[in-house]
Amino acid sequence: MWPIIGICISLVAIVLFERPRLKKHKKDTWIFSILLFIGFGLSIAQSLDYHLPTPFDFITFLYKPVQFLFQ
Amino acid sequence: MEPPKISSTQFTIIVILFTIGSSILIIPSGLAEASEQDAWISGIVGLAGGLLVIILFNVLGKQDLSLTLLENCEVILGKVLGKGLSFVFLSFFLLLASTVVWDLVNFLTTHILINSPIEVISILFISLVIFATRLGLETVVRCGEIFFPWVIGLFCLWILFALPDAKFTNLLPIMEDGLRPIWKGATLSMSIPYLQLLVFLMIYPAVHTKKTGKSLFIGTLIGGLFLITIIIACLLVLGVNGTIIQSHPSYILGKKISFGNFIQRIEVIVAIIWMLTIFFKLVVLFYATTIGFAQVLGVRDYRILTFPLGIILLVLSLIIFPNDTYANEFATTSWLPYSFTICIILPLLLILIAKIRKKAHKA
Repeated sequence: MWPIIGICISLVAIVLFERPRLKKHKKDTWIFSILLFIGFGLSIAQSLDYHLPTPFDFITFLYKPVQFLFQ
Repeated sequence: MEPPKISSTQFTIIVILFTIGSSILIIPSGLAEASEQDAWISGIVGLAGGLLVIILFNVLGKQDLSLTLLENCEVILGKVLGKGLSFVFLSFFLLLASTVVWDLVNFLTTHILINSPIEVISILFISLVIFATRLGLETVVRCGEIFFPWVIGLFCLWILFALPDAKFTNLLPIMEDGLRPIWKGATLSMSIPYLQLLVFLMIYPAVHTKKTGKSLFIGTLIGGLFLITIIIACLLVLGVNGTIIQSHPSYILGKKISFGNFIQRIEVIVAIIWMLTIFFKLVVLFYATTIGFAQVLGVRDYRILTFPLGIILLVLSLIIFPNDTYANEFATTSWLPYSFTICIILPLLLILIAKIRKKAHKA
């Protein structure tokens, strides 16, 4: 409960903080919003103890055939 | 936005701080596990290999000294392929930054702030990194200049106080198992500090002298010598088994120092050196990631992206390693081929394609 409130408060704080810089270019606002959305989506999922997959599982899967070279 | 300007001395200093970076935490135990008492030999071989890789980076950087790595990608490969390759590099930088955050937070919660929640320490540290990145590269590098004498001085004091307990017999037998453990250790040693110096190709354009490549080389050499010193000190004082068992043997080295019953418990000084060097490593990585994203996405002011990327970095650092065992296993198995691909094979490809294009233009 409290982590989500904290996340929402920091979301609002970040947007307010960056507003003057964002007002100049529209494209910057879009990219900022998309990245911020991804970031906060991930952090809400993490705070709700939802099991997010590790990117390193994907890398391990990719490089499994070549691991013997470094053993 | 005016591009930053730093001198070649400042560049060398920041390279040294980066190289010492998080390697000082994990290299002694990692190398000792791979090569046992020959860890110092694999450290030296790793440094030699790393210097060869630096020569490769210099060749790639010299293609066009005023472009960062990612802009260079686009010039060499064209817009679509260039942006795709840039995203590959950027994902590498971001994942690398998250492992650095994980290393630091792991160390702090294991030894110093034992009962603190991991998220809070990560948030505090990443906020600092975001703040520093927003202030710009010049400010950070000047800050590095100020802290550099302290890091070097404390490092020398730490090694000097530890050496009276040294037993040179801990280094014997030399090359007991042959070359295979040294190969394992050398590849690990190359991937942890030296291959990651690819990041500095993003900062090349900021250095306004012709001696950029030389500064990178010298910085890596000095940083590597510091790392080899640490490995030898850990092996001499703690012995092979002592170094392998501990997750952070250099911290334990600091704990063991008792100089004439007067100078004791100086392990906090060791922790301070680490926090400083990890901070600079993280700021360089985060700065490179942010301006990388800004260049690829066409954003004019990179400062806008610092907060969203900081939050993504925070969440990444919490999810990448479910536990310590996974981290150790990953660092010694899958991270090696991954960083070799990104930091050796891709730059080689870029150089080859650039040469072929130049020949095609001349013909």
